[in-house]
Amino acid sequence: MLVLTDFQQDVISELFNIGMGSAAASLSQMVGETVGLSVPSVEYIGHTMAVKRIQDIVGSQEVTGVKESFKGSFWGDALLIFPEDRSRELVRALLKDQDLPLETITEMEQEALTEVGNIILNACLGSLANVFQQNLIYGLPQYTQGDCEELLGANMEQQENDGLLLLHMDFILQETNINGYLTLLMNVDSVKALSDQIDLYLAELV
Amino acid sequence: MEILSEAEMQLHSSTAFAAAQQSIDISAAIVDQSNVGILVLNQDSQLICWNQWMAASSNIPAPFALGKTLKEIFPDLQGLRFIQSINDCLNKGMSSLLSTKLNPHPLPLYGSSAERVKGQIMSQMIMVKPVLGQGKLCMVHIFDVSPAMVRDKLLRQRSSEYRSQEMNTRAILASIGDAVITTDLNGHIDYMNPMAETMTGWPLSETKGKPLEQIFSVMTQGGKKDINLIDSCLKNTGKANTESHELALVNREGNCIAIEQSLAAIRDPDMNITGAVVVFRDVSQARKLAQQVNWQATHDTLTGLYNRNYFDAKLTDMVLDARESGRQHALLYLDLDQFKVVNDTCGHVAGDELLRQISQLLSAHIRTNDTLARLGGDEFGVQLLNCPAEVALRIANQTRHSIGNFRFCWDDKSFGIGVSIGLVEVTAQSDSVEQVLSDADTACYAAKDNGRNQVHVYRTHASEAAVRQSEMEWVTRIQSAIEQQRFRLYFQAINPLSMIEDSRHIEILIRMLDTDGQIISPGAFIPAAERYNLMSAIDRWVIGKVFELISNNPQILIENRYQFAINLSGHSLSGADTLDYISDQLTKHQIPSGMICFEITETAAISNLSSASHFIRKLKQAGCLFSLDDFGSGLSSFAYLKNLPVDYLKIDGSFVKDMATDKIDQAMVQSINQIGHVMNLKTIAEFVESEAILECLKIIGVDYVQGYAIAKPTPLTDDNGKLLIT
Repeated sequence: MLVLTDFQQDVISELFNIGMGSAAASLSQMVGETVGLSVPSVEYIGHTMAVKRIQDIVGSQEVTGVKESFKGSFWGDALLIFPEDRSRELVRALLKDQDLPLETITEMEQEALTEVGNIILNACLGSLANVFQQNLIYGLPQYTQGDCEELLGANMEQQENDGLLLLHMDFILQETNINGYLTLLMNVDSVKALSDQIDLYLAELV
Repeated sequence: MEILSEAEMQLHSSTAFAAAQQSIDISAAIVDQSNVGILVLNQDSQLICWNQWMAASSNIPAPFALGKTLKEIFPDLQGLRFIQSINDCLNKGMSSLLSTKLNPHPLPLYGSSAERVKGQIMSQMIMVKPVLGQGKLCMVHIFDVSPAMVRDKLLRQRSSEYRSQEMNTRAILASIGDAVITTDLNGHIDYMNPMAETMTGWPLSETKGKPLEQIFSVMTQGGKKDINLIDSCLKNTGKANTESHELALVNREGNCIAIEQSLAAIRDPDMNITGAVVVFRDVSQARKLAQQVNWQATHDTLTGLYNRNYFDAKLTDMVLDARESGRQHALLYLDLDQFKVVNDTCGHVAGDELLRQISQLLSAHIRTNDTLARLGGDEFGVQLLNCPAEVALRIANQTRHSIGNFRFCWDDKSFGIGVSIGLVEVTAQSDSVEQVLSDADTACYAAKDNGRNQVHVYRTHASEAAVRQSEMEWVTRIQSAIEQQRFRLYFQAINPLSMIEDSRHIEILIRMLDTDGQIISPGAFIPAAERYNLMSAIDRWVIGKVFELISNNPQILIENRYQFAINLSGHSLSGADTLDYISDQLTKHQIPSGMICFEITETAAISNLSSASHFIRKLKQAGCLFSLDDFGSGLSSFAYLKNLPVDYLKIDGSFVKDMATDKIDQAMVQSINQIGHVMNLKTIAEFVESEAILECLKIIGVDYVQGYAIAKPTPLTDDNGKLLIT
């Protein structure tokens, strides 16, 4: 499996944090309240490992995700994942609608959550594109729900040595910290392209 | 909408071109007719597409809109996020979704003209997506989500209603005193109210989803685990077994709590069972109380033995059993002999303690299946099941021995206790419960009569019955004699032995005249009179008569210094009205002081020690004297003497009559005489029937003598009531 160096991973982490910063600013403005977003860690790991890692955090329960595909010099699917109950909590906190007793997420809430995911994913992917001065084309965000293995697996034509970029992310709102994951599912070629872009970018910086 | 590429646009082949043109026309028509809002902006943010839906919703026709920017069309456009999305789309190729919740009304669009008039802007969901055509284009889809918003609002309303209902229910469940647990269809716990948490010792957080029987562990009174209730409730009919068992909950700590519970199925609107609800409450207190009440209803609180009620009920069973099965049972009726003495000399606390100790002693003698009860003051009953008379007699005698060997100690005093036991066989021939009890009572009385501390076996149609029968006849005879004043007074002289004394002492005796004028001796009617409470009346008659004689003949009686000794029965001694009667009569007849001496028996005095002592003191104040009769025959406790301020001690005749030949009797007489003198009492010997006795008594130094050797009883008056003494 292709491996990203620690240094490359640090660069990605840095770029995503920039994206998260702007997403947090947008969200804060929209909900009239400080929203904190950060990416404490990034790793490029195998698919199975990633599933396990996510399951360790969310347990066996269902997950909620917002998926967005992107095309350009590197390509793949970006997927934002929250444990189902945490996503409900998150969207209700954002909408200041904590009192709703329903255990399922409503249609309107699904939409709002999709928008939130959209803002985060756009900001993060946008910061990558910005830095690499590459134009990417982004698909519309899609709300998905289900077992996390299915969510990750059904996204692309799986290849044996495909890995994925797993970003652990913290979502802080009203003093509650909601853990989520942002994954970039890319095939080998795409990761290679991303890796090349990073190297190119670093070379320019020197 | 698909925008045609340059290559395609350059197709000039007529058919291809025509087809392409047709395709473009169709696409344009589809876009225009779509039931969502579609608009497309070019790189310069100018509108190049504005479909009919947009025109209708915004009230801006396409010709006006096309070529303009959104800002030009909607000068008041507020939505920063919308503008940003469009810019991101055109500049960076980003897609965006604008939810209604986060961006309620980005564009001033209306669902209808009516809504426009009302100013009710359409709820919108907007998708912004880049389209690669001639350069980058931005396509925007606008959806009317007003219906979804209405649904959402309804859902919220419903769920908040549901929640307030739920809160109400929870509040009710939290405040009631009953414990409530609900389960799902598998009998797994859904909910427990706070009382259920307290009683089981388990918080809901730890029990939710667990099988009910793990938490709500219930035993029947027999200790059998009771797990099928919930199953039968859920799986079968939905009806719980409502049979009332005495149930106990075993809580988390393993303690048992008495409960009452009810179970019911929970059903959905289609009547399908969806779970069960168990309601239970702590009834420890009530059950304890019930047990206590039950115990008290069947037990004697002082001794802890069964009480009369229970004894009677069991006796009914026993009599019935004897009749039906032919088995032999036995009934013992016990009466303590010295209980009254203990009670009167040491007080009720001592009496109670004696009863408790005796109860323990008795319990040791009965077999497991036998029934021992306290039937009254100092009376006990024992039912001996499957016990032939011989065995019953052995048990009775063992009991008597062990009580006889027992000594009751109180303070520094020690008492020997005796018991009189009546034994009755309960056989198929036994009449009724009442009869059996009455026979036992009779037998017990016979045991007492025969000198106490013994067992008497009741024999049907035996002598007692006859005695009883004749006694009953005596009662009517005595009663009519009292009414018709058919008594005669006799007297017997009591002479001083050595002293030179000029007073004349006589003991007043009584005889009954039968209807035919025949004289009946006291031995024939006194026992019956005593047993049937007629003695007081006889005593009164005697007192009244004697006093009347005195008041009619004062001269001669005072001159000769007569002293009349009148016998008082135990009944008269304990009855307060007798004391009043005597006092009245003393005053009425102006009886001189010292002329009357009442003879009371030791047994009568001691068995009513406190009232006897009161009685004596009162009458002594009125000038009467007292003599303790039959001294030595009963308990002979000299200690009692101190409490009885008597003047004379009358030595029991049984010692006297044989004293000339019996050294022991002689010694008895001697010591009683001695004690009497030490206590400053005059002594009298009765039953002096011979000169030899008289000689002995002279040597001993007894003060007075009475008996056939001195004088025989003779009538006090003649038939006309005239006094015969001079």
